[in-house]
Amino acid sequence: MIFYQEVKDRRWSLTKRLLLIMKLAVFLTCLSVLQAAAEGFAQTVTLRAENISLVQAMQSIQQQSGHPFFLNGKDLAGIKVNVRIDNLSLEKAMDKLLKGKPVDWVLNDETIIVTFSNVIRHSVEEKENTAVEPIKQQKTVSGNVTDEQGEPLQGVTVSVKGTTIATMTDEQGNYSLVVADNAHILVFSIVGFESSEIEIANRPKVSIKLKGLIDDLDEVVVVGYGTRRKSDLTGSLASVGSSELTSLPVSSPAQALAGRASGVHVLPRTGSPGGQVNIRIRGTNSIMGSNEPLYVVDGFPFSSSPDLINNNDIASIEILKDASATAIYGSRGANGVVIITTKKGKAGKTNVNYTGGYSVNRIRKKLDLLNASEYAQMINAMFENDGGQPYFNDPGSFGEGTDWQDQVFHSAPLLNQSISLSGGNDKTVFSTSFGSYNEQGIIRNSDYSRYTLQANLSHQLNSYFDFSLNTNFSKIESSRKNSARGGRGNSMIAGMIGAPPTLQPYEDDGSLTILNRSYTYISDGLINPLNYLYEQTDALSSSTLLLNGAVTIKPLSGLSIKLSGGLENGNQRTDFYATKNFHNSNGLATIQVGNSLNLLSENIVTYSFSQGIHDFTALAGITYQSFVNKGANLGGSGFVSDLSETHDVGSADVFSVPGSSYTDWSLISYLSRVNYSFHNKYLFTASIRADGSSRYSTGNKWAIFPSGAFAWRMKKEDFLSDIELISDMKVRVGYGTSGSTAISPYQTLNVLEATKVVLDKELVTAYSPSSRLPSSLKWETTIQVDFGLDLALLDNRLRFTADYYVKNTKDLLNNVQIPSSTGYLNSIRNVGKIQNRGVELSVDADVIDRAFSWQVSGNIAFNRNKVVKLNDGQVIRGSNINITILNDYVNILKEGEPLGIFYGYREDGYDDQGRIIYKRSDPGQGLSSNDKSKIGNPNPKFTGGLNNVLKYKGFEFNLFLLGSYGNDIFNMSKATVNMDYLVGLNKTKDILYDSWNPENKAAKNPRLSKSNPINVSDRFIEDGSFLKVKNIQLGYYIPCEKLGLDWVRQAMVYISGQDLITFTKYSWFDPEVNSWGGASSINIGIDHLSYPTSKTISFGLKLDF
Amino acid sequence: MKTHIVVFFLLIFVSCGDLLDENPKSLASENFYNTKEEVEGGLNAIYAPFATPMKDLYPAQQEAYADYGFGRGSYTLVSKFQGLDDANIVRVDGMWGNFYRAIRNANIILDRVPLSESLNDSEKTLALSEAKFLRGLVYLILVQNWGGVPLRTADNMGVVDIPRAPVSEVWALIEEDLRSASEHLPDQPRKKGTPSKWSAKTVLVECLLHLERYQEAKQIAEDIMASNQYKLVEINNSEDFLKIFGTDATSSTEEILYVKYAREGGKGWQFPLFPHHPAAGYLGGAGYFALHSDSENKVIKNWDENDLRKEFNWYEWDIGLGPTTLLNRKYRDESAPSSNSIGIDYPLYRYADLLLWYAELDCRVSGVATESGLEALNQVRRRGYGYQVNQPSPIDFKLENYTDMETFLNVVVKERGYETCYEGKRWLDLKRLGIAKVTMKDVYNIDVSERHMLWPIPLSEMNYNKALVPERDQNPGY
Repeated sequence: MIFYQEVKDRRWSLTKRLLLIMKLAVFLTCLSVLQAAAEGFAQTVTLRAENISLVQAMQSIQQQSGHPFFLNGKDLAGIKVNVRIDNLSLEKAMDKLLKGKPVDWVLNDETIIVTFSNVIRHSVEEKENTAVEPIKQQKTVSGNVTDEQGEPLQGVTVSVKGTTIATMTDEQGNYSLVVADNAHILVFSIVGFESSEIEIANRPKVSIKLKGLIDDLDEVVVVGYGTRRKSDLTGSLASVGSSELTSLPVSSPAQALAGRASGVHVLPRTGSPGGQVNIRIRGTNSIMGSNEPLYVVDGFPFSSSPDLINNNDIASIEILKDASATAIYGSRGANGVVIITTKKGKAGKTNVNYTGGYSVNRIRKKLDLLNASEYAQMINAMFENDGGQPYFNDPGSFGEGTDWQDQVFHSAPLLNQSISLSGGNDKTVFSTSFGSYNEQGIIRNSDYSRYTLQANLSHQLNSYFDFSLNTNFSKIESSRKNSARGGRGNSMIAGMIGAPPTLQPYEDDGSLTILNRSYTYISDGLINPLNYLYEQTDALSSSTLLLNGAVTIKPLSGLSIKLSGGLENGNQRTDFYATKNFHNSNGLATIQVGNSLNLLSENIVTYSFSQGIHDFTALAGITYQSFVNKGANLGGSGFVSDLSETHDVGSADVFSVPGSSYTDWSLISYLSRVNYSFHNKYLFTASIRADGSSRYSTGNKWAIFPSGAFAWRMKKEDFLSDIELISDMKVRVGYGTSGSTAISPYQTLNVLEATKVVLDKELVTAYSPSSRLPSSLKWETTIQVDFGLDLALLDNRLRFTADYYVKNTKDLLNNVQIPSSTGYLNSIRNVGKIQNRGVELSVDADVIDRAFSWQVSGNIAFNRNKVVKLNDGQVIRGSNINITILNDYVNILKEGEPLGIFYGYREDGYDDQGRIIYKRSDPGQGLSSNDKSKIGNPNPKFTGGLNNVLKYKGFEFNLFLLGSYGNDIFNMSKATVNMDYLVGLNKTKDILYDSWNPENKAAKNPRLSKSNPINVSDRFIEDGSFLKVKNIQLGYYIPCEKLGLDWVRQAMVYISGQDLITFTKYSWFDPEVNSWGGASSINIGIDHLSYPTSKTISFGLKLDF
Repeated sequence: MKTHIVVFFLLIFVSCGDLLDENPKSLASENFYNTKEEVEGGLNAIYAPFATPMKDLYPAQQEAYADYGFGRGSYTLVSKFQGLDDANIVRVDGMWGNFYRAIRNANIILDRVPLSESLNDSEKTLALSEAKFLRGLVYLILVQNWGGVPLRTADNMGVVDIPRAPVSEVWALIEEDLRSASEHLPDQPRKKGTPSKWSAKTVLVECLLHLERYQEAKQIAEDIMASNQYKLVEINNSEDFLKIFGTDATSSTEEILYVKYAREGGKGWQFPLFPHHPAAGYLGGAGYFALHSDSENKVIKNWDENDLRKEFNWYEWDIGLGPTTLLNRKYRDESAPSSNSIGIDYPLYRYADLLLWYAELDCRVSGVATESGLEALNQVRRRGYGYQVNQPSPIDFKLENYTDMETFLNVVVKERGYETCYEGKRWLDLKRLGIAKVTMKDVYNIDVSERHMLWPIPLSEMNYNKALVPERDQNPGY
């Protein structure tokens, strides 16, 4: 904001004193510009201009009329006006200027006050009346006002709250004010600083330090171990605000990030409530290690999943993408860093906020399966094709039969509520909130509840010491229905799809039908899916406490020493029980408990100083973090009664081998960073971090991660300063290294595994090395170069950010295959290189900025991933996925190819029996693995999101689109459901209507025959591109003031829909799927009978008072 | 938190090297294999990877090759005798890895136990002998199914790239290991499921049979028979066979070496799932019916209805392939709590095996059948029909009908088929006797492909063992 800048540069002398009454001052930012009211000003005003800002117009009017002006509400400064005023009186000129704008003006105490018309409606007379209210007894209060560095502030308005009595500070920052004896609170305000309220409390002297105010380009964003003004950033960073994080009814901040920031790819694994998502920032770097970003919550590098945090409690999320930004996190920065900052209190009136939303989830899309009579026709066709008799006599008589999808899915409610309280005074601020999130899944009896309690407190002891404490507690209770994947009907999802519609879910006596005894040909593995819904429980209960406290000492101006310590304590328990009524069960109980403790000590010294055109900030620190994980499990089967469930496991007939585990590791780091800016035009950042991790071999425990970046604010150069089109322009270049702790603890040691074997009918203990040969290991290192451009046009209305990056990861920790005749299967080595490079673009535009406004923000990211080198050119296979009819790997890593490409056979039509023919390199030979080739690529060509916000009067309309283009999906679901003809399970309609027969040789599917061998082939590759209307929302701000609800500051109601429309060619439930996903999984892009996604309609309310 | 603060000051004032040391709460290999308990823990670790393929996939694979039955689903192709496809190759690759892990664990014992400071010499000898026995047993399985394989011993444990040894060298190591074990092991096993002197000798007999050193083998077999360690379990009706193969048969007089499984800890035998239908109820409600037969099968058709083993083994069950379909119920555990808690042992070596080998050896050594060999054969046959083992019976084979060697051996192998049905032995017998191809041509009218005779060396071995050259070292057809 140019306007602010001019004020701060003090080009305008501030002599005129201003008196103000603002009832709503607490949440309106004050702007004032004053100029000497010298004599001899013209009595009329002349002004001609088009599309200038209101500020510019008022400056001109001020010069001509001599009246200083005051814009009440910062958004007023941006309003554009067209004026043609010729020699009009001030009154007429102002009316003409503001005609058609939602703005009022008054002349008060010789100052023109411009306000939004729907905020202040007092007439001039009313104000004058209050101003002449008789004053009874009086006293004098004086004091001094400085900025945070202790520099005196001139021109600060000091007023008595609730009155018109005010004054301004002089050049030394001093003021003196005669106030009523009962005057209670003083309000200090000046442009560019947070206004502050202080109790007088009978003190004759009231002094204060004002905190710099942050807005727009001056917005401060959180970077590692500190904050920066956005305009001073040298690295690549995406910021996602609170309103975006809370617009979807989701349980985790990770889910809310989808499509909100360029280069941040969010992949949901399944649709289960509280379901996990994977996040990939600028692609995938590591084969063995986690590719999830590091989550830092209020400065605490966090080890568990971010669903601990209630989205409503988050003020903002910053995502550090390039290495110049992440290198300060050293060995944990290679996958990017997600910094979550929770809401803090503000001095002033206590603020109560309530948000509540009620949603209904339903299955996004049901599969088009055969009905009962079609199913019987299909089975008959198969028997006849195989030369047998039809199995069913009268297929038509079965009719529609059972819709097993309806048996399993239902529409389910989701209630998400949060209430928060925040406030404080100039010494102590607090923020506390309670949130509850209760989601029932679209699969019956699945649910997820989370309760969060957050309390943030900070207290300023004196000018040297600050204390702060951040606490988050969350409790999760979830009843999970996660039986998925598998094949031949042996999981809940597989059973739901495969169960013959000719069968009933229940027997006449009310018991569940035993499906695998129904027909002679039917799969032995088929289990009635209702078993999982009603005869099995899988309850997760977990609680996590995150505590983070700090003392900040400021012994000298510019020097701050922050000593902080924190802990994260997680406790988790799962209780699994299958009743005696569960298929083939005598009662089966399993209990698992886990406990984790993560301790942090972090000690950072920051020093900043300016000398003329040089600005320095330097920080140095030392941190220590330790992690301990403990686990135990026990269980048994064969119970007399289901009554005790998992709570009397001692009564089991047969015990499973109990287990327990322990791991710990620690990380010691030294870090330092220097920021230097010259003329506020050339910005330099250099950082270095040395990390020592217990996980690596002696001699390889330490590594150093340096970075450097440079940014040039070109707009500040003379050759751009006059170009009005460009309101800001900055180019950035950064280089840095960061690492990944890709191995688990103890992997470099020769530890023995204990297992049980049976001898003499009893279990005895056996000790042996594992199948992994230990070896000496060091870090994975990612070196990244980033070139960026930030450009703002048309008076900041159009803002672009573009980045190009190249990331090379070397010393990749990798499972190297060794010949299995050694007795080992693999060994971890530092071999291999992966490269990610790409372009990210984001645009924010205030397309229309009037009474009707339209804001657009969009982002798009193109990442290209390449496996550059592997050990000796070895191909690394993904896991074998066993669905019985197939037991093979699908993804591979291969030099020169993107990560995790699909590898398999290509089909070449059908033979004369209607069986699939596979292309062979040597048609004389049998099919061999040499005939396999790349058949698909799960990596998208680009991903992006587009958000539109339209506002008119109290209405707000939001449309959010999310898309991914060019990624393939391997449809393992289709392989097991549709192609496993042998076991006679239900299939999608095309199997009956479009399978090979002598009249239809170009059919989609091979001939219906029990003998139908298949292989991993391009048949199962589908285009996974999609465009989703992720959110569509209409909100309305209730005009509380009109309705006389003075105590309500803001009230908003909305109705919204999520995932209502999806454009995709993908044939199965949903293209947003990653059934075999995981932090380190290379089995990406596989759809394998997962909990499907839902679409949602929500209603909600947001209240502030 | 206190330690936390202390740690911070430590960081500043002292070297932080110690904080980064790893101290796992599990045992490190370097200090292990010293005490008796540790050595036993190490010995037990040879059984664990061995019991894994034996639990299900190994016997299932072998039984899909049998002349009296078929595989279904992904095992269909195995029963077509044209080599293995990807799904089956993945299975045998996994077995290879587990067998070699057992060999590795045996080699660790052989390498480390001599260095133990707390074991005396005789304790060391016992441990080494048990490890040698198991190593020999595993190589015996490897050589039968894959032919020559890389020979991993305690001496070359650190070497990654080792070439494929000729078949003869593998046999030499097997013989050496088994001879050493049969000399030093005690009369009674350490625990049931571990070897004794006599079980080592039994496996040595099998080894010498393969090596066609019949005289030596016969001598050892006679030693075992004379030791009176074992005798056949008497049978009155077909259900009595459960005394040998049932859940209660924790040990029988017939057991030479069974691979042990238990209800507890998910350590059940899972092979019985393969030949059962869930609705039949023989395994609670489980069963894959991935192996089956048919009453029209030539072997089954020729099988005498009076043979109690036929009734004991087979039941009719239509799995969608017609009413003549048969499933096998040799192994039953109606009250198994779950599919991984079937409490039955794998009868790897039984006294009946030895008697039938003795019958063969006696005939081969003499060139004609003799009374003593015939008696061994008849003992097994009598028991199969429910007659007293040591009393002549109406169904005895008469010497006059089987004088020449070929006729007699044909009867022996036929009897062995009935006796060891679903014990994973049939295909390997037919291969050893050189009649696999003839038999399958006769029973199924299928020409067995040469590709089917050996399993492929795993691709992972071919790719990563640099001493192997695929063109030279891979088995035919792969």
